[in-house]
Amino acid sequence: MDEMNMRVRQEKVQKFEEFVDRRLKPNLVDAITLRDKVIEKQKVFSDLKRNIVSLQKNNMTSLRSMVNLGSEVYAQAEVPETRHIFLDIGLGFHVEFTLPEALEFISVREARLAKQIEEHTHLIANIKAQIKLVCEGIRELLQLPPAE
Amino acid sequence: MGDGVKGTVTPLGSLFSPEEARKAAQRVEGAVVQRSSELRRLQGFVSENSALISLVRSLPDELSHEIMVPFGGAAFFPGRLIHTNEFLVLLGDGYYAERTAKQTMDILHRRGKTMEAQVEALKATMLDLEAEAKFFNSTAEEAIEGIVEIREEYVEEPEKNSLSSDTVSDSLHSCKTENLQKLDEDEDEDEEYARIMARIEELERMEELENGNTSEDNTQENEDTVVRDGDGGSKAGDEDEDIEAGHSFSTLDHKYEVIEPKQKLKDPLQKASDQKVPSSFISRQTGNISKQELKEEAFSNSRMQFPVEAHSFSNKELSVGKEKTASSPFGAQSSVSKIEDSPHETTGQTLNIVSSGRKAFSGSIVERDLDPQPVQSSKNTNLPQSSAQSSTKPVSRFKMQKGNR
Repeated sequence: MDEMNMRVRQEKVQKFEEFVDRRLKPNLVDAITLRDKVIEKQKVFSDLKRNIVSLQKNNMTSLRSMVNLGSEVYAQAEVPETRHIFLDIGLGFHVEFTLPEALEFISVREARLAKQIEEHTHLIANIKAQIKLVCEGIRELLQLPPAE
Repeated sequence: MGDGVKGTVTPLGSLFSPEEARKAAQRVEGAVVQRSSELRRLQGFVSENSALISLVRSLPDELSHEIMVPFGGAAFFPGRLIHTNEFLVLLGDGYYAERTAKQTMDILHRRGKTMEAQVEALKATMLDLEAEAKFFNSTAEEAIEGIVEIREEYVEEPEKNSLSSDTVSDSLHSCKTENLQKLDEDEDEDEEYARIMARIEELERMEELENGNTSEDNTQENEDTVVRDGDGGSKAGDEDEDIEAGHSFSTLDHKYEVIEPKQKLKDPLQKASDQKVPSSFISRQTGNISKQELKEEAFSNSRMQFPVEAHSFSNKELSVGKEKTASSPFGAQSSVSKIEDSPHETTGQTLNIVSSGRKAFSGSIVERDLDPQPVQSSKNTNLPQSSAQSSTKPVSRFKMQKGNR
């Protein structure tokens, strides 16, 4: 009887472990990757904001920069006036803004991104909790037999 | 089996378990998949590079270009490209070089070449891996089919005639594992071989008669007989040479086979005396090619003991290949390479073909129809050369060949 119980327990333990390894852990990894992507995007926008602010502060009306033509081959480019800037608003659209409008847009964008990050964080926490639960269950199963 | 021949019989399945072979094949295929994704990546780079080259070539056409200048990752400024002939190229490790358009194009061109070399190397690796996988799979299949490896001690037979065809085919099996073939196949091939050999013999005799080299041949025959371990049947040194030459092709112990078929062939040869053309044709087709090569190409002597002819004959595909390639003096050579291509036989030892210095052999390869047979031009080209070689003399055959080339 005891042996049968042992075997049953072993099977259950194995099933739990498999569940953790095959479903929960990859889910966790995916969620973390998604969140990282959103964080990156947010970073891009915050950098942009900083640059626009400094542009305004220093009254830089023209710029010179290097443009990457691909494979790290750069060519000189000149921006004659920086009054209008084209921002990527998603879905392949770029909208022409003036600098103050651009700043406003960026703050709106940033808020949205922060919300997305929050959601991802919740999801990740959820998955982590599930993993922990299953591990606890396994531990319980394993500890009981010796107690018996 | 031969009298009192000891041997072992091992099922191939025990040597290479089929499941393992299949697993090995799968592993190799996995490696192939990996390489192919790498290959795609490299090819992407190559195409990007060529696109860049054309862009760099076209930019200096204008003083400035209207563009959208990126600002950070998600914003653009309308602007212009200026100094359109100056480019900053990353050389790696944080070093940049400011170059003109033409110089940049050269840099990119060189980069492209390097990448293409990498692509080629990767492709070669992939081909090797695929061949390996194919080999594993075929081994697995053979093991499953229950092919058996039979190893026997080699016992010289004083009487060739006493050897049965079964023995011959068995001796065929006494070989390395790679040369495992179905028993039936070999027997059929032996018969074919025997027939062809008969015709070859007959043609050789005719040539000898024409050359008036009979006496020489006789002496050589004697030598050959000795060489052949008491093989009385050798008509001429040619045969022996053929045998020796043959080994380059096979890893089989063909000694049995060679002796046997030659004996059998003598009669058919005589009967086939009027079939010179077809026989030379046939001889060209199959294993004779090995002979042909011997004559035409003075390769260094290889001291292998095993005549290959039977084996080369046995490969029908070879015959087709040979046919086509026979048209040039180097037909033999290319046909040799064709033999090599055949998966069964060769281990790429064309150059090991023996050509001893015996004239008779060089002159009397079956295919050589001497002048009287203008039928096949290709063969004729071979013939005059060989006869020329045989008539002149002891210049190294190899040199002669070189001259011919």
